[in-house]
Amino acid sequence: MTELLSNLALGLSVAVTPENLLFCFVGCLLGTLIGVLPGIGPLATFAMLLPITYYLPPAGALIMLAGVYYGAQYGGSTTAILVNIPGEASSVVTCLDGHAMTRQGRAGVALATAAVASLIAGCIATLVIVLAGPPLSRLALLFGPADYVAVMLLGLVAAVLLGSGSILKSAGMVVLGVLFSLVGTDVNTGGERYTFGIPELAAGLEFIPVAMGIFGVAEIVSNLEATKGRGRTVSPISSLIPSREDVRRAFPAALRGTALGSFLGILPGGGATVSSFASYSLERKISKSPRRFGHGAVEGVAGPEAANNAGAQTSFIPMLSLGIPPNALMALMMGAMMIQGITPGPQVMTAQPALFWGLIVSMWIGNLVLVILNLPLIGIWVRLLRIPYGYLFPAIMLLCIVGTYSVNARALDVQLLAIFGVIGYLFFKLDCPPAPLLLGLVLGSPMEEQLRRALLLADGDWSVFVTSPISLGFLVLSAVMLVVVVFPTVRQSRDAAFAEEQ
Amino acid sequence: MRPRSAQDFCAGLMFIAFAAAGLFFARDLEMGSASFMETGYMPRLVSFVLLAIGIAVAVRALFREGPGLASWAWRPLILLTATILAAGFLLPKAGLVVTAVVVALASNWAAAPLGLPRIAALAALLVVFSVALFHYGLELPIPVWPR
Repeated sequence: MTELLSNLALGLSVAVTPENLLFCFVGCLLGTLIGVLPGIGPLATFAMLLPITYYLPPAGALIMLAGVYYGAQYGGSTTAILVNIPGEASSVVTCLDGHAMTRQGRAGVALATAAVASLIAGCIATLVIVLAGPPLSRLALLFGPADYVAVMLLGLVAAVLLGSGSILKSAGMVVLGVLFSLVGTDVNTGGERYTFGIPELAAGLEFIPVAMGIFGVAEIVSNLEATKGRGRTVSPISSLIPSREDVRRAFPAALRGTALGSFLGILPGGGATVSSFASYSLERKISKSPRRFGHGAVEGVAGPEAANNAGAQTSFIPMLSLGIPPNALMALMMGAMMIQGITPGPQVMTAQPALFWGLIVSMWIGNLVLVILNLPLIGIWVRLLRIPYGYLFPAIMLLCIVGTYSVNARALDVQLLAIFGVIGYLFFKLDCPPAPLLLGLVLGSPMEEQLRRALLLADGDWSVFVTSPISLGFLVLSAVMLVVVVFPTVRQSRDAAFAEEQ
Repeated sequence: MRPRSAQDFCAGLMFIAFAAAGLFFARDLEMGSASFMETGYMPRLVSFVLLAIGIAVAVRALFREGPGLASWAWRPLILLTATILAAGFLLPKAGLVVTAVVVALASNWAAAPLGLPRIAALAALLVVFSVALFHYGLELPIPVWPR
């Protein structure tokens, strides 16, 4: 307990330095701004900001990115409530009741509910990280190479199963990401793989142009196609104060959402999106009047908003303690850590305690900043919603180009940006989800390293993965998840096929 | 036999193409064994897994109903890709100001038909924003003016 307190005190001392407070503030501001602006998701934001973090101190960079992460989460809900457009996947369910409230003229109440529910969730989830992070890191130190391979495999399987889109295609995208991660010099033998004689590729495929191409450039092209550069109209905001009845309904829903989100966020493959969907269905199931849902039920805003914020935050746990990103945003976060020369994993907490605890305490501060920032400034965000995309996307283009170039000051990265823009658009058109590719790209190298180490120690005997009890446990868990999720779809498609024959 | 889902069939073909390229470009690398993998082991292993998934996606598309192929927005795609390539070439030589103006003009040509005064305003904004952020804010070693 005293250890915990001293850790928190250390974190506080890092997080409240004027410099880091500023980074936290800037991160939250940028995140909200970009979450609100039409057509730019949190993934694109992250990808755009990665090169900038290169020039910041490690703690500041991570604190800022974490601020962007939950700021974008928050901004996404604002657009969901006001204009029925989810800024990102995790606010899809907020559209249902949040926008219904707006149509009833209660937009202000919906926004305030979302903000306060997120704050409650953020505070509790930060505590969960403080409590769950250290034991998990200690546990992870017991892992051998084979166990690491198995737990990473579990993470990838879970990400594929719980993500959106076709399971088989998501699996293909993960493997394709791993294939891209092989580009460069083989660290074990010194041989070059897929470098095509280009000396710059010997150090591997740079993470930033790939992420920016797929999530920045490709997204711009598909947005242009969908919106043709138009803006939107937004109605004005009325009172922000919820009634006593609203509070009575919303508060328990926010607590339930927090509990659900905190739990689902820790699981590999979990995170904000799954949490918000789970919370919405839970609220509708236990409600005495489920018919109000979809017609402006305040629980339908409070629960999912709390859940997605809690899930967003606890998904830091597997990344920080095991070095395994549970979703694509965390994969980018891990990329940012690696750019800073920090290898994510159980050793971060012991080797970089100031960074680890500073980041965690800054999350709590960030949540507070978000509420302070958002409720008074809501008028400005509403005005931003009206900016036509035609003005925005050239700025995003420029940011992507200069950002990519600035990391190594070489033209090759900008050319890669262009190539991956086209590839990303191809993925979009073929309905192949790009997020799993990013997970594969980030996890590819550590997974390969551990796999080779495990097989070297076992003298090439693949059975090492089932003889280690930890590894076996993870593999069985992966298999169980596969069976549970895949079988209903197999049955459904078979049923559909049978129906056609008749 | 016509695939029931052209979109999935092409997705399968895409995976197969990447896997084939992976195998082709690793053809001269040594395999080694599981106990000591040479440079070519992992590329082949990963390519074969990808190949299997690609075949599964393509074969399934033959039997399972799904969406057809969507049309492509060629104009923004080609023009924006060209813009990026041009900007990558211009940035170190012509500097931030020229690049920002080129990006503003070319982006607008690619997709958004803004009127001339608005394009000028947009270009000016981008110049100010990029010089402030990249030159003064982050102090990047990128020239502001052509040299």
